[in-house]
Amino acid sequence: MTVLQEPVQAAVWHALNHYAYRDAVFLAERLYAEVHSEEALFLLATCYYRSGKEYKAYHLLKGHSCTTPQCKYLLAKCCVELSKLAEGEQILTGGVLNKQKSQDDIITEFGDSACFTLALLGQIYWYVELVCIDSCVNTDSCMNNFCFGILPLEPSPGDPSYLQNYSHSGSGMEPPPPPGPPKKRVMYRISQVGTKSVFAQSGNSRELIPNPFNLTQTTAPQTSSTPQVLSPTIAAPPNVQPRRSSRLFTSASSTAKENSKKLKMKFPTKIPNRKTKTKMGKGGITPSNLNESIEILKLDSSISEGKGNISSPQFQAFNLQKAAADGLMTLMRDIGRGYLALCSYNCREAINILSQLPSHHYNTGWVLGQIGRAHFEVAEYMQAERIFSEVRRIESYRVEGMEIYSTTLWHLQKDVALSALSKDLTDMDKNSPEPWCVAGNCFSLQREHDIAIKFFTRAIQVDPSFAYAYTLLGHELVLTEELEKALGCFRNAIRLNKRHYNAWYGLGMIYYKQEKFNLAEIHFKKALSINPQSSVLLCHIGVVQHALKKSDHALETLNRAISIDPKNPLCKFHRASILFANEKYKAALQELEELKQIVPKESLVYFLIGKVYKKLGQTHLALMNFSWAMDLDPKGANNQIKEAIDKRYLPDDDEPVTPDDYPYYSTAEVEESQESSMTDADDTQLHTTESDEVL
Amino acid sequence: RYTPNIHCCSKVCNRHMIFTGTVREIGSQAVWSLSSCKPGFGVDQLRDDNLETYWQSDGSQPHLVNIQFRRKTTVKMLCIYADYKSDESYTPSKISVRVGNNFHNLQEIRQLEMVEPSGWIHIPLLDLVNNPIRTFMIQIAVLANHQNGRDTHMRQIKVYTPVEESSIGKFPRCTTVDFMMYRTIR
Repeated sequence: MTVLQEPVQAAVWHALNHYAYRDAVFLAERLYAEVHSEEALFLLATCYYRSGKEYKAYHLLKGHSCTTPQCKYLLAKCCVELSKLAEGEQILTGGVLNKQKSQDDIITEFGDSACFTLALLGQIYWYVELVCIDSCVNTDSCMNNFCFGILPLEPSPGDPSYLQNYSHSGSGMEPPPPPGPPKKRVMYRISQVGTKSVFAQSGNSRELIPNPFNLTQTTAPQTSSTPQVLSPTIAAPPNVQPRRSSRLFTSASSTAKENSKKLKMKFPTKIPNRKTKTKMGKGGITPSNLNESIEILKLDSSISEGKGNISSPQFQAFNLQKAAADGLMTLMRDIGRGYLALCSYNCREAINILSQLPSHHYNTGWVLGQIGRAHFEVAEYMQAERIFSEVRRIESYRVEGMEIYSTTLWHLQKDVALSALSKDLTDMDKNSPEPWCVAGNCFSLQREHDIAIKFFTRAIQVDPSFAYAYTLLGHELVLTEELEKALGCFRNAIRLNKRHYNAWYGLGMIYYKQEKFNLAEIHFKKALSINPQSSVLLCHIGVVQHALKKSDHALETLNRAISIDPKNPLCKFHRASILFANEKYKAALQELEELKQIVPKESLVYFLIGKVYKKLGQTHLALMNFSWAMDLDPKGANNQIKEAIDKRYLPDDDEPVTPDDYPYYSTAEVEESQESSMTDADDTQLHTTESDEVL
Repeated sequence: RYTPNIHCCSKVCNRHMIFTGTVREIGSQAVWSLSSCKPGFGVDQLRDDNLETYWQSDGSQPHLVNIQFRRKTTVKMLCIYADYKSDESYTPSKISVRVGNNFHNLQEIRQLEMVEPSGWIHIPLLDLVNNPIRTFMIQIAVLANHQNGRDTHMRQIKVYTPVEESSIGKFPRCTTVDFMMYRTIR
């Protein structure tokens, strides 16, 4: 597939040169998944590094073997950025255990980039020297040995040139000599290699690093041409590709245009849909970019076709190239279709399409992340969790999509996993909103809503255009009863992304709480119009309709919900409760019996069954179910269940059941040790009433 | 009404009820004031989640803690941390809880006696039909201390409101994750 790499590489470099990092990353990820070459690895790592995510480049390169000099250099650079100086040095100079490379070895290995490599090494030693100075100040005894013997970073004795420059076996309490002279020597040595740019760069770095002791500064070497020298070299590495891509773009043959029209037809026309545009932007494939990359391929293949008749081996090669181009386009098209389905919330469709991708693309962070999200949007939280944990295993440096994973864990109430995720992500990247959303979800699960609010606010500060952070903040404010502020947050989320149905749902919930049922229904329906497959939304609409006295509509809605997602027990529960409210007791009971089979440990089910039996006058069965309900949940539902029992039996009771007794039982519940006393007391009460009944 | 005290010795008050989402601490939504205090032993020490620090009054009895909310608030329970072993004669022995709209129409709804307490005292605030009270203001009055001490120490006070069922329908809280998963969209 080497023939095919180049157009894609050209596209990636093109994107990079235009600072379109998200597009570059997406394409580079696909390229690397397709061909696991070190060149593709380097390209992907470069995209990560340039988009400001050094930690991603670091983890990526660490996880795979880097033997080429460019990979090693980039990895060392990431190490320096992440303050892993020892590791950086080890990569560049070959490690502590192996023989240290001499300067000449480094020059021969790194070739053109040797100047940068040596500069980087010099930078590492700079930082280390500063650390050394600090520790020397703190420990007078070390003043004697202002050399690297103290530090683990000491280059081995096999490299006398560096040691010469840095060791000072001064006497007694001499203050450390100014770092000026040795630096000069080092720079001089480096400059002997012969490139001005390094000279300039190390001069630069020297100026930038502050001298903590106001030691006398020696005059810096001339650094006049610094900025200009550096920038062309950055553009230099992709020597081959820009030339090629410019050739591709400037070619304007008519045959190429015709071919491009034909090939364009293959691409689904629906993609540049205005509704999904924002979502596209978020995901990183813009329609224009996809078209562009396909343009490159089309023109490439058409050019090759144009020359095809020359000779047969060339013709075969070009045919191969075209076939490979078609393969890539099919891949892009399938990915695009899957993504489109997801954005239209056709989640099952999306899962189908994306699952049919070839396995080396399927098992990548991006694809699995989309599939996980698809499961999440139809409330299949277990599957979503499985898929997301796979994403974490494959790409531990990925933060995109982790906020969805954290909400999944929140729904499943897996607090341990959630707090581990939160710690890992916030340690790794403090400048993306996703880790802060995860942290907020973690504390929300622990019912520490004030702290969760702080974290969500932080996520918003880090990225004010991240709509989901506003939604999560809104939910927390609802939980702390600050409904006005919550309304504001949900509206902000909608302002940023009209298709954010979670925010519409949030607004609906607030209106429901305020008993403005009409408004609630409107907002829930708006959310449903965006995500029509959500049984949870349908369930809520059903309940609101019932509150608006439109019980027939409510039942219809709930039936729809159950048909879409038979696994959602709440739909059945609410259907049963509506039937109960409409006095259809037999039907309600039937529904509840079925529900008992599905979720046998849910106290609410028994509570409702008890109420039905009470209405039917079957008090024994009612009491039995109430007591089961209380057994299954002695803490929360207690008061309501007690009321349900007591209203019936209070007048008949001989024993004075004063209100004072109940509060103490309910507070005694708090103590684990006193739990049993509560149930015993209640049992005796039930038995007493039962015996009264019998009499 | 005199009622025996119920107390628990855990360091974290009401941990279980908070965890099941039944109650929520809302002291931060109120304005706190004291009838008197020694410098450095005031409201901050009463609300800092630290059982080592305390409020020490510095005046005549009754010593008052006033809790004023922005709006009429449902309050289910008050919790006070008192420890006879550390505070001895500063430990309150008789406490009266009054509620009302403002300082002028407070009414006592609970009075309780404590005998050598050591831990959290839970004071449920319920009306005649056993619902949590709704009020603008709560006043906790220390009427007497152990060994007839003049001034009092109080280490922490927490105020709890019942959590509204956040999902749909006026049902009690559901108990299994299978139900809770589908309760809301987040």
